[in-house]
Amino acid sequence: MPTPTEASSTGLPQPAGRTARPLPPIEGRKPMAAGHVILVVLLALIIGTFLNAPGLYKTARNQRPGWQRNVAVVTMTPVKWISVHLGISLPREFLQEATGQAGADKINTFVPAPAADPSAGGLSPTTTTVKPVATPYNKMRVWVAGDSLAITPGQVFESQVDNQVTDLRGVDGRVSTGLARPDVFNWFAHIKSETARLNPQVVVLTFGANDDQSLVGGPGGKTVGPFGSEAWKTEYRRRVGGLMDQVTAEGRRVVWTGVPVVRNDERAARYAEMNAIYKDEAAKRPDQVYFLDTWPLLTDASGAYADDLVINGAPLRVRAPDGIHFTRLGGQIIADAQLRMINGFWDLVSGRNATTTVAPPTAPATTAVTPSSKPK
Amino acid sequence: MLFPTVTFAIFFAVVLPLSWILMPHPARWKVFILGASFVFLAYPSPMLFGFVPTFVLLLVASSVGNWVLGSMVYAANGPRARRIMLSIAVGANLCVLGYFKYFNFFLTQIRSSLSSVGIDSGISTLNIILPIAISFFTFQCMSYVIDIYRKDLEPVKLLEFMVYVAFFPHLIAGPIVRASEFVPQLRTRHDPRRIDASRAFALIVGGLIKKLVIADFLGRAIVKEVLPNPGQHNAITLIVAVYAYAVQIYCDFSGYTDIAIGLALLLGFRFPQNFDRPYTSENIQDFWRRWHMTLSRWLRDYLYIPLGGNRRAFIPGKGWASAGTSESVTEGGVTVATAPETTTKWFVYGNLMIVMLLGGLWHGAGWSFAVWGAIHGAALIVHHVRADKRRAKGVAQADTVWHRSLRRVLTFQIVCFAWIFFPTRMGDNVSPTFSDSFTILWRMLTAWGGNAPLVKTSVLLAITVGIGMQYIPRNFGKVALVRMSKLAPVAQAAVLGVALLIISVLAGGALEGRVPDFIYFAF
Repeated sequence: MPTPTEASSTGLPQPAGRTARPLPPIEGRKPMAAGHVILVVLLALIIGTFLNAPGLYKTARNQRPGWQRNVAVVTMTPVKWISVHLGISLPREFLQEATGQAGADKINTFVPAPAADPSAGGLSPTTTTVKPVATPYNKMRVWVAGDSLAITPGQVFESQVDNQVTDLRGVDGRVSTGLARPDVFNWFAHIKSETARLNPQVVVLTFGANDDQSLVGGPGGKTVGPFGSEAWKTEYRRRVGGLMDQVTAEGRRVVWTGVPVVRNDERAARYAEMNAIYKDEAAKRPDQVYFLDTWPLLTDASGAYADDLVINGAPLRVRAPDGIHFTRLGGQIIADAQLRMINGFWDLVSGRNATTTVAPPTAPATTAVTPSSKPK
Repeated sequence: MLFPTVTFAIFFAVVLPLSWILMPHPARWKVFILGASFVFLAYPSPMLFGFVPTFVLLLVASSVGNWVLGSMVYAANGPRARRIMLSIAVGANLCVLGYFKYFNFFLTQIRSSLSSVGIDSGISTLNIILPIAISFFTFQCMSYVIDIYRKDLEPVKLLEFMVYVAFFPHLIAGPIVRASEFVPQLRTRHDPRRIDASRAFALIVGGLIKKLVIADFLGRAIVKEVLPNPGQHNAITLIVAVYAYAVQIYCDFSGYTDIAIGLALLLGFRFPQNFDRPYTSENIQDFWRRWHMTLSRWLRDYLYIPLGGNRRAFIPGKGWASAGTSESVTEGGVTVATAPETTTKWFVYGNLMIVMLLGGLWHGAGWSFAVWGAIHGAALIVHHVRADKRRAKGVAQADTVWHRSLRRVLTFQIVCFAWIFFPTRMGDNVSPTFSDSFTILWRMLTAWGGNAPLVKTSVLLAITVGIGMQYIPRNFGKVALVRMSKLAPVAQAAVLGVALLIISVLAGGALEGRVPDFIYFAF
């Protein structure tokens, strides 16, 4: 048991009748008792929580499914309700509007539905077998986007594209995102607005690394899961197909980069299931969506995952320490394969030295029937 | 666990009251704070056998090992035995550090060398995960053993030593606190009525602003886009990106230590200062007195001075010799030789270069860090040569406002030039390579055409604020702090709550979302 002196030395409220001696200031600042410090810290966190409640609620929702997310959502739901209904969140909204972030706390779970028969799409650019030719006067416009696995290959892609004939409209890689959680980051809405803004003719997409989880925003706003169930597969297929149709609807072509083999066998098996869906959905959209299978590119001679690959006789590291992401060299392998695939349906070579604006056919044949895909 | 996260806020809201409640019971408090520090380190951390947090295991092993070695140094009979024990301790620490930080680098170098002469060595690198905080706690452990060897410190109890090493506010990225600074605070009864809370709150809020509003913004907006891909950007973009990187590193690291010092203050502990407005330095020596001060101090006391410092030279056949002819050095009770001043000068320059090279390599394995250290070493040597010449001529340094400003600008340029060779992880495992540094320099000189779409007003504003804040007079915030300290607790809480709102919005919601790691976590 603490002695009375010890008990009082905790700084917590003193027993009645005891007079506190004034303490000398520290460089003019009034010192504070521990009990008051605890009070200030807890109160500040509570005030901060209510002021930032919409953002914190979104964060709670954005977590991976599990008990931590459940606890966070259950805790933040009434806090957000009180904050919004009492107007406590108004200063946050005002500040967000003033700094150009209006609506940042909104959760958008819109997911596009695929066309009834994707292969019969009227806007398909498959009606021609002539490869469009990119020239310095009519460059191929390309945009790279996806989850964290898009970042390193995207950066290498950026450094390797032939700027003479290619107009790279950006590399948009976002960590901890995917198609499973539009509440975290809505790629469907983002891709729609970005493709309208950037007007690429080719879109290189990479998804899946974070999608081996339940799918938020399913039909009726329900969460569909668990991963791998029939319901999950149906909903994920709907999302992948819907996104492919959304992008190709305006005559754009898609290079869909499959999820790579990873060190963890269980995770690799899950990624293989997703790759099967991408491959299948791409096959339904011939000459519009091209699936890039990355597994053969990153496995060793025995077909297994490898941190190092033997390149020009030397083992070189291609995978990051986490066994999922790429080193720069690994990124280069992926970017090279993406560029080779694009070269399969766009001619990026023969028009390189074109000296006039009157060049060989420079755009997909659909350009003539798809006004929105004309260069802006 | 990262400081600017909801998880840490909950953790600290639990630890703070329990810490003060247990403070009157030192033994219980130590066990509690040690457990809390392990939780802080273990969340999230790779697991061994599925349930043992690897980093915690390494920390415990390192602490216990160094404590035992410290006791053995203390108990050893005679200087020779003490020196042997010290060598074992330092060697063991360097081996641990070497394995985790440098082993793969050496393997790669051996493989490349053999490959360049046509030999396929078949050597492949190991899958080594760099434990968080290893450089920091290893240096703290080494300082403990060396202080015992020097008889500056007596061995402390194991629990005290483990609390000293693991205390969570300084565990991950410093400041590098010495046992002689920390252990006495463990043994002193803290007065719970005298907490410098207003200063602690100011440090925490200031640290959050530096990290979330300035450093992370610059990282997102320009640095991580430009520096790993220098071939895609023109000279203007690259120059601005390098300045942005300089500000980002400063705000990220000093922001971390500000928060660490503030949290320690709230728990009743004082940490040494780690940054003192480094970009206002008038020369490179001044810079190292203001930048990562606790590392500079460590390198000075445990490396530079043992190497001879600026007083001694090692002359083959004679041993250590002191500077000039009028001074002698006593080593183990024996007066040793003297050396001509020019000899000792060159030894000083050599020592400076060694210290800076090792200081560079402390950050990580790679030629980039060595070059970074070498640039600082060379700049320090030039500074010393010029100072020596002035001293010899009896000329004082010009001290007008213009001269001082010019010196500050030049020093900042040298520091920024060196940052080009200081690779850190930018985003998802992406960091500029050694060759990227040369591409940056080359394109800064040659790529003057084209647009600079990433050089936006907001980026320039953040750089200006990041540098400008260091020129704010020291006493500027004092009055505000005094006033804040006199507010009622509820009013202080309201001010802090509003600060959290403003930081959260200015940081683009980062406070609630995914906060990028602190740069120095990688070291």
